[in-house]
Amino acid sequence: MTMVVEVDRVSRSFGAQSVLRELSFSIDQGEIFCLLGPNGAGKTTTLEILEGFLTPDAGSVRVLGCDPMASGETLRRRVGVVLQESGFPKFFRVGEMIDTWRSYYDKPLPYDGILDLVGLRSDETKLVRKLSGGQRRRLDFALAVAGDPEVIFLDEPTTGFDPEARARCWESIAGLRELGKTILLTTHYLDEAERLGDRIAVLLDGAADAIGNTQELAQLSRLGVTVSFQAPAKVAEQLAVEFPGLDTADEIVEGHVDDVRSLLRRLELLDEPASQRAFASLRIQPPSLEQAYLSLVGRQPNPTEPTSR
Amino acid sequence: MTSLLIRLGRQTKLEQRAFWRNPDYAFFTFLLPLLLLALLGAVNSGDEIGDRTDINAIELVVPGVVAFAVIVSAYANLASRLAVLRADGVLKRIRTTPLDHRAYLTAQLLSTLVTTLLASAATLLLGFVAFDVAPQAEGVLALALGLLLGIICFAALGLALSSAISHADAAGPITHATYLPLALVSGVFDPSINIPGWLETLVSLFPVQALVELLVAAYDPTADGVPLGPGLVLAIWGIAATVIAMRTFSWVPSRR
Repeated sequence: MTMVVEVDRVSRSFGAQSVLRELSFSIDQGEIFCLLGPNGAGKTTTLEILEGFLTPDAGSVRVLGCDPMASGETLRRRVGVVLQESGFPKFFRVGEMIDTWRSYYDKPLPYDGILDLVGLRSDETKLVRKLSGGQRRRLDFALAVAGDPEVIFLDEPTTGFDPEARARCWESIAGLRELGKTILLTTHYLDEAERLGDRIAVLLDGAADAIGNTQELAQLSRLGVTVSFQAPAKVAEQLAVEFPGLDTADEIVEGHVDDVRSLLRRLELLDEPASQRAFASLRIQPPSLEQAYLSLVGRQPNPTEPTSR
Repeated sequence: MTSLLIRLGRQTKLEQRAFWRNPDYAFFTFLLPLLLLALLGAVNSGDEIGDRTDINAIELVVPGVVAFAVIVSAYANLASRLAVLRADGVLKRIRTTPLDHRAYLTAQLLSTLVTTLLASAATLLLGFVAFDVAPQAEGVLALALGLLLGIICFAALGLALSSAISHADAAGPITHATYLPLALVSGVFDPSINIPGWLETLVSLFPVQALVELLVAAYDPTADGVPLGPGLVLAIWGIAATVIAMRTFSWVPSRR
């Protein structure tokens, strides 16, 4: 497997403030990799090092096998970037911007293809200053992909978006996935990471606390699975004693178990009617990314809180 | 080489197009000098300067306003435009592309050169059409040298100043604050202004006064060729500003 991005024990401080601490991860070709973490976790600093704006104090990074600080134009031909915040020359037209950006690259994507990918077809002749926030973000995308890059860095692409704009943005990213691009995306939205990321790295205090897909993160967070089933009151009370994660009320048993297999074996050993009833009503749920994430960042999930924000 | 020239031409054309679409820039660089000349011309026309009988005040007003046009366009405008482009992250965005960054900056400077020449030419033309004031035949060299050195020197100063402006909001106030007082005491708006001797000596070391002197020499019938002192002042400021600009120029917004 070809590694498109390699980050090896990278540390970086600003003055006395240590932002990255021996951060390591790597990204395969064609993968969408999410850096998930709260504000200030070091997401943008990581991207700026990969984009060649910052040098690490220690450790090394490779993008497409090159050192981003040293390779300059050669590497920039192959990399597309959506910065967290970057403006446009306000008196350019959308079409002019895209055309100009295409002219910076040897083999750009077709002009019409770009417009369709980002959904700016009807805004082609608009001045950039007249665009809405969501439209500007789509223009960011258009410019990032204009040169048909192999790898794309997206720094918080949907922060501050309304739900409709987020959905459109996710569509554009899905479109890039179909084009076979390797994508590194930072976000502090759990649903965004869960929806887009092939793999997710939870970035906390400048280090990747856990890396994997949602299931793997759940395992790493050592959260058991959530189960619920029905059982006669006496049996239920007995099971709640044997499995400390379980609670019982009104002949319903609910809770977490670390080892679901031992619970299943135990249910088989119940008398026939109780066993049948338990299995007929049994529900097993793996931990959600939210539970895993909150467990990793050291907080308990709060059911009244919305998923993101 | 050919592809670099094509790239420069294309980028310059684009910058020019965007420049003239911005009503603020178009007004301040192009219309303001014309407006100023019309007003100052109306006030000064027919006046005499001190005890000189050989020259009409308006003949000194026109080169003063041309100097103003050069300073506003090549210096104030370039500095604030670059500061805003930097603060808004446009320069940073350019840095993520494979475009040769020197080509981008060169195109910005070429676009500034075009704008400044247009603004100066329009001011010269208005002076001729409205007030019948034209450079002396022998003054053409002083005029050409003044414009050339003036544009290079003030563009370099603008480039250098842009790095000192950390917020887009501060761009306008800072640029105007740096040249307006000098323009006032250097006789840009009022050629008959009387200032104390020590201040005159001090002001003569600055490029605003130097540019005014070179341009005035083009109009003054008693001028004796090209004054070398002011030319030297412009050259020294231009070189110093270029060195500072090259050392301090940044593509990313400051972290402050």
